[in-house]
Amino acid sequence: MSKYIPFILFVAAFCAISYSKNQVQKRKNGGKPYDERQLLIQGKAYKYAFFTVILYFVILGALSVVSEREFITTYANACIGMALSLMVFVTYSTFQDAYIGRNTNGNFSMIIFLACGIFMLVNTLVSKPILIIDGILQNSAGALVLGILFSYVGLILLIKKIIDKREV
Amino acid sequence: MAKNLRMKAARAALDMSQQELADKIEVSRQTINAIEKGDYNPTIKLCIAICKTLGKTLDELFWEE
Repeated sequence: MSKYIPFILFVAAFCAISYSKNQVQKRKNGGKPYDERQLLIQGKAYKYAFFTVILYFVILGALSVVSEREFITTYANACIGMALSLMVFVTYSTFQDAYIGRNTNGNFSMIIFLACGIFMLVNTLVSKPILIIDGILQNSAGALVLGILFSYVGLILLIKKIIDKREV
Repeated sequence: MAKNLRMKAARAALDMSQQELADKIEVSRQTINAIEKGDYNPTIKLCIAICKTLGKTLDELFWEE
């Protein structure tokens, strides 16, 4: 149990910092972190994300039915579906200036996502998980997918920041 | 959608940056930029807020002949 204490402390500290930062930001923005255009764009992004995950499950389901075999475990499948939809949402809303709220520069989110993503990727790769057994993608791929997702979100925010700096 | 040059001119006449206008009406700078470029059609509520801040009427800033 004691070996988990640093991890639990890290998670607790992270949650406390994120929550207090969120509260400060809310007060700064008068309780409205996004304006009407950003909310509209986010609505569109949710729609694209929803159809992405539906399309993913339809294609995977059709492949499984046609080939009469499973390609992936339920947990890994859920992770990939969630990651794909989030990637679509983040990419669309970020490049339409609707992911980061008003009066926010997004540095905190970018650093947290990059740090978590790299940590998860390194942690997963160091433990050398067996990803595929008998042609079926295993549960251990879930952590890898989440690592890729977090790194991707961090990178998208970084790319957007570089583009914005060039435009200014 | 056509560019809203009248809004841009009204803002420039007050020597106001996009960020300053955005802060006054509580939207993001990118939203002001999108309205001026004609990429976004604002709600009447936002139009009124912009007009009040720039000291113009809705007709002067948003009416298209």
